[in-house]
Amino acid sequence: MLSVVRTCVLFGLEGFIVNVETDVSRGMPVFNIVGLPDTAIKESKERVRSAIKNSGFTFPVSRITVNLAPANLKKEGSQLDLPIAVGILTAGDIIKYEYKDIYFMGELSLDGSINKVTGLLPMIIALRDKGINKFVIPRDNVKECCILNDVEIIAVERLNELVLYLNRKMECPKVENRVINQIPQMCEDDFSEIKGQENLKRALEVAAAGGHNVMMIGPPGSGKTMISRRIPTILPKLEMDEILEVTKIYSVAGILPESGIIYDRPFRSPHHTISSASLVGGGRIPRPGEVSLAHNGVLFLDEFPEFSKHVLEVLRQPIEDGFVNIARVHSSISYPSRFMLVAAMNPCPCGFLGDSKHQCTCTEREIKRYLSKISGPLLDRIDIHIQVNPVKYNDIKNNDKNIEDSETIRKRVEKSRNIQLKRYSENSFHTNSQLSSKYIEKYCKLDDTCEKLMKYAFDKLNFSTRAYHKVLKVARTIADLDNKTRIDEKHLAEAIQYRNLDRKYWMR
Amino acid sequence: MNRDEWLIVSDICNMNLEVSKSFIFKDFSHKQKEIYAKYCKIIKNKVECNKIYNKYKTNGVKWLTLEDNFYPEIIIENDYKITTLFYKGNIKLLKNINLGITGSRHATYYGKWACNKNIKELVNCSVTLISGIASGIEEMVHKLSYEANRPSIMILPYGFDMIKSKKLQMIINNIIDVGGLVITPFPLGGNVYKTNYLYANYLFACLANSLFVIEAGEKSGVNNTIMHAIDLGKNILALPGNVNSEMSVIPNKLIRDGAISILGIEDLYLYLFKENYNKKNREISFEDEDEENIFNLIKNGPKHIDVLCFTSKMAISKLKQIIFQLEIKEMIDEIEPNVYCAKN
Repeated sequence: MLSVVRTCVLFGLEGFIVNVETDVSRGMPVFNIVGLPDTAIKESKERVRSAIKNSGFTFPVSRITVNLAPANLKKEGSQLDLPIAVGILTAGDIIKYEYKDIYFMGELSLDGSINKVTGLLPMIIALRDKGINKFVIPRDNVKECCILNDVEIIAVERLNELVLYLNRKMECPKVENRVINQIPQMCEDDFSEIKGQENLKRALEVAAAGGHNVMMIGPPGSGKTMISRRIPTILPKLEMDEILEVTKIYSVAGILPESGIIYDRPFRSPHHTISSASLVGGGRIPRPGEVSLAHNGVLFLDEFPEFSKHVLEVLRQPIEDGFVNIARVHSSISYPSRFMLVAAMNPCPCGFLGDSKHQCTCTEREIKRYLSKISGPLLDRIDIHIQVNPVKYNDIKNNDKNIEDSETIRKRVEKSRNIQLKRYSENSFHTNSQLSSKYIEKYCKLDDTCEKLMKYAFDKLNFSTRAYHKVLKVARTIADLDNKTRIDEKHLAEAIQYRNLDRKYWMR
Repeated sequence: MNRDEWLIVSDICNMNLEVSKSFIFKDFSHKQKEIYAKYCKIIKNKVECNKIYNKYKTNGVKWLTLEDNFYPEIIIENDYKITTLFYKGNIKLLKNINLGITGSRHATYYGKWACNKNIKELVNCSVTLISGIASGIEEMVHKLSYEANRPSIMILPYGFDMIKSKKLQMIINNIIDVGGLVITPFPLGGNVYKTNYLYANYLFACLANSLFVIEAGEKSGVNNTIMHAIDLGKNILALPGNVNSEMSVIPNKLIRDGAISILGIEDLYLYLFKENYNKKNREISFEDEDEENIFNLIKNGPKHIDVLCFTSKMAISKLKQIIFQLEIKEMIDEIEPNVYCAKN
């Protein structure tokens, strides 16, 4: 007897419908799976056999052929266990009712229970976009899927429970759609804990408002890492579609937290020994890398020049395009990677170049080699360069200036992001940092006094030509923070302060 | 011996500068006699001699010997340590009033700031600056000189064919372009040894009328130059610094031991020309009260931007605008990252 069960496989973040066709016929008792299955699917034979037996059903002693259609698409993932089992049970006449509109995903355990699978959310979203809205999923995956409110989800724990449900002998409790009310961030860090460093805080506020990439240069112990960890607390809260995007990626990577949904902006800080494949994604079947895991959040690279040069260069395309294409023999997949790059570094290998309290022990050549790890094109993509140096505690200890907390700063950031969203509603980009030179001319117009100031800054402060556009973009963000439609002289003056250090360090 | 003969002597002796000294008195030790024999053999052979002349001609390297007018008297007076000097550029500069400036490779922001400030004023006076090749202070001296179109003298611690760094080559080309002088005691075809620098330091001390030490650490090579300068009876000038700054240890010690302390261009000018420096008075004007307040805060000494922010109780964005305005008016300077001080 023949049966057809529908399920889904993932290809990057895209889902494809797969029909599991099962034929049970007379002949020698063999069990074959055809249709380009990977190892995990081939092994499912054994799991399916044991799970059916241990759930109290008889495994048909006949010739079983399972075809995964379309046959030319390579399939991977353990979610095909459940549809294969359902197919065999249907072909063996144990499940008697029709279930054409239901899609099955789940991994079987030998005792007949249904285990959690990775990447379930992107599958369901992909199927939902194709107009399908009824799914059977493992109960362990409920948390990540219940944020979708327009689909019907049946969560099952055991195979026999599912059979009873399909035979209409039992009613499975429907999963309640959880309304997303943003859980307050559990993050204990706050900007108010940072005493001093007003300059750096302001720079990061501007960066967060415009989505600009930031680079901090300073001696060890000046607070670069400490302040970076607090950047997510001033970034605007994730929107619903952003939550979905992020959760999808984490679901594919299989690193969803206990709560099942990512509410907070991701903050990824890979160690500098990272390989290029784990940074942008890779593997035989490409998995999302750190740049994709930092999508809609912050990618923090501490000790920037310690990363291998090759690893830093692969960052160029993801920063520029907002997605990353990974091609392997097996497949070519694209993952989103729109993140804010925050880089921190020392000015020289020993860290004390120019410090009045410590002596730098590096030779000229060492410093040059250290800095040359960061190439011009990469520097080009970092809008805000800022020098950090610590201030003595005694100097700021007895002040009564109230220090702003993250929530206050976030409100300003959100306000300016809204202004940007409104302004760029007709364009494909959303933030000032994504402005290309064509749009800079359109949106960042300077009046005569500003033009004069800019020219002066160029001559006086030794600006490189590449600094020009960056200053304009940052000035636009500062004007947005100030709620002004025109870029003012004072906005430009501040933007120039975040001037580029490339002349100072890289073109000595 | 004439000029050409001295050239051949130097070329044969190569890096052994001490050996060439024995040619003056024709008093040779056993080992030196071998070199003398070699010299006698070459001097008779015209072809060999021309080969050596041509080597220097094609490289554009000129030489200066004991016989020449321009040869520094002080070397002759002090035991003929160096017999031949090789140079490119304008040798007449040696007769000018000059000032040797030296400092550490690892200069701090303070040292660089002070160097920048003093030299920018100094290049407008008729004084030639002498310095070495090290990065940091010495490199800065040459850069500021040729950027102001003023000649400077550079002491090279190896032969002209050993210049491997492109940056150094560029600086040398610029110095020569503005009519400066690059000079070395070493012939072509030599090698680079650590001891070379000691001879270069000696030459530096000989050529400079007085030596201005900007910054130097306890074990800096600058100490060697200072020692030679003191031996030769030159005046030492030093830039005072913080007593806790490692780079100011030597200048501060020098001042304690009687060096002239240089607090600014006025002191330098008074020392060099025995006249008071006419300072151009700049008009100080402020756009508003805030700007004046900030400037008054900075006037009392270098201030970190955070400290300014706290004491003035001003928003950081506003403060940054004011600082930029003041910077544009050239009323303040950033001496260290985020640390500002007033220009006087």
